[in-house]
Amino acid sequence: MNVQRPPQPDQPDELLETIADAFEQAELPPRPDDAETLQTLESQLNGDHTAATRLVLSASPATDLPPASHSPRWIMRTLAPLAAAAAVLLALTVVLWAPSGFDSNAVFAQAVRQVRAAQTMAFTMTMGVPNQDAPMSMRATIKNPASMRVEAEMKVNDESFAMVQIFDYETQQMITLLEQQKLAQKIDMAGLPRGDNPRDMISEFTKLDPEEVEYLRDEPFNGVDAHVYAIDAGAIKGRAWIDADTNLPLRWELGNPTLPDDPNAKIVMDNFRWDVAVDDAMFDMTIPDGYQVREMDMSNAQPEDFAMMLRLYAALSEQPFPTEFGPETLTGLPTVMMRPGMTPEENHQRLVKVLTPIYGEEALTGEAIGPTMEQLGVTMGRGAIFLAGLAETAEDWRWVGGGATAGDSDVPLCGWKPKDGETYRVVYNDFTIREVAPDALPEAFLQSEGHRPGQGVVDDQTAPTNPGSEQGP
Amino acid sequence: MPDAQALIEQHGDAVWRTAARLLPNPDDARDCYQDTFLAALKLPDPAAVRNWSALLRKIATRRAMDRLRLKYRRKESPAQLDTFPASDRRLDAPGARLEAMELREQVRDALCELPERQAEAFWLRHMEQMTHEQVAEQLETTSANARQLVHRATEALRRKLCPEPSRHKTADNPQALTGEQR
Repeated sequence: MNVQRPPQPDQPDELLETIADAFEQAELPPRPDDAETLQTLESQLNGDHTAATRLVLSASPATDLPPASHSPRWIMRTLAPLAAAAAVLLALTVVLWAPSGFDSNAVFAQAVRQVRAAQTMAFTMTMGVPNQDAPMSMRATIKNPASMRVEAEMKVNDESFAMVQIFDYETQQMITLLEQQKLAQKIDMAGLPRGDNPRDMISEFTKLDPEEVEYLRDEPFNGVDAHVYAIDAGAIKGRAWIDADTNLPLRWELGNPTLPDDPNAKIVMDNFRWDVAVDDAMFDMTIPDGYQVREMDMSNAQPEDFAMMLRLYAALSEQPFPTEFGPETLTGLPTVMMRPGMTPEENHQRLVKVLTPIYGEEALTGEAIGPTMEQLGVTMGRGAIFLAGLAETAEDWRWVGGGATAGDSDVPLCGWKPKDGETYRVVYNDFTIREVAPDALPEAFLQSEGHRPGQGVVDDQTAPTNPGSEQGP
Repeated sequence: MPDAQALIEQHGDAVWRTAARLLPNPDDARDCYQDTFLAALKLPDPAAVRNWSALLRKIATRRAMDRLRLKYRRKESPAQLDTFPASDRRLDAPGARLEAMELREQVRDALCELPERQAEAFWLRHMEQMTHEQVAEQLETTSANARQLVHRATEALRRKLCPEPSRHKTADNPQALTGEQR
């Protein structure tokens, strides 16, 4: 049996020595001049951030919610932090689950290569069908490998929200700026997984299983000849238009996994631009002068955050849990929180109604409602980060909660086996987390396929087996 | 914010060495060098940094690897890599410079194919001469996991660069001299 054992730390290894020698012998160009470096750094740190912001916002389409008959401040207190929280979540989900591309045939393979080669990209992401009551339209600019900027403009009653969010994956920090209100949020996302998550975000656009993509037809799209593909990847269902000449994506249209039956709840990504020139100032994390700063801690998210997120999700969606639940599901969170087609007043009343059993009436009344909504945003964000992190921290993740409704307290929703752990952690529909031995897992687990969030099925070696099945121990 | 001038003066050489060794294109190396210091200056809690040298070299390694991967992906149909030289050619032999250049290119390509953390762990351990404990600290993992990452990376590189495992002698296998068993 050929068993390789690790070399000892100080053991001579000819290959390593030769590699080290080769790099030692590299003739390096002279180090950049210190003064020039300092000057460059200074200009980058003090760049004209507002100019860059104006430039991009001018290209970002504004979407108006239907005007309400009146605009009491109590509605604003609900919706202002909620709008910010929803924006945080949408932006987070863009990061945590960058929509995937495909390579089902040669055309797609070429498209994938080109997407992979792009160092920067920009696109518009709209929740809902354009020109209808879309609650939010965002423009995202990604600079490979670790920076993203998302901008959105919304109008709630007569108040505008121009939001800018900047992510730095390197430092795992995010800032949100509400420009008119001069409010800034600094969000610490330490613990966000690096492994399979899109630190290199652009490459994440290319990870759909080829079998999950089907060529449909050729048809013009905005005057451009396009190939149309259908996507059916579990919770991700939709269509893609690929430019027949350049093989670059023109439009992705994804059903909202949270509201699958609502045609107005589609997630549309279009206006793609590749290798656009971007100003580094667009990704500057420095909060401009004059902003009131609030700090939100989304670092080191815990299982309890995830369980609470599920509880909030169930309350806000007012529907049974979907049959699939993963990072991609969270793209629907903004429309779960702020329903398309509902007036701000209706949204407010709905939120107070569904959240009262969780937060209590007092926390949703008067001035208290603002901080409560902010807390909701933080909880949802922490839960989303934890879920995404399972891709790295868990060996086996299973969602079995499809169809579960409030009251089914003994119904398991999901579970995972932490790496190096001996037991599973199972979240039940009463949102408790229980430690369960592999041989005591609920029947629903044994009939399900284990996988990691957003990824394929786990190795058989790590999946539990049904004691009653032929593969059982 | 840390003192940029002091950082550059104290650690500029080390950061440049990392960037320029990984990135043969001087423009890329220069960008990586500046990006590294820029990232350091934007750290939210610089007072918490215990080892600036290691941190800066980690950032430089990560940024350089990101750039390498981009370039690697842009190769429409990557050239077939030559295998590691079959004979035990030391670098002071005639033609060694060209061979060293080829080897560096092969190693860079091979690193691009590794999982990010493995590639980073390998470089920090073997090229930056960090201890496993330092690698673990920079990668925010345990020492045992860092050791495992380095080991996996080394074995993966070995498979890519010299498909015949017996070509390389180690203290475990002193008889397996390069090329002697062919």
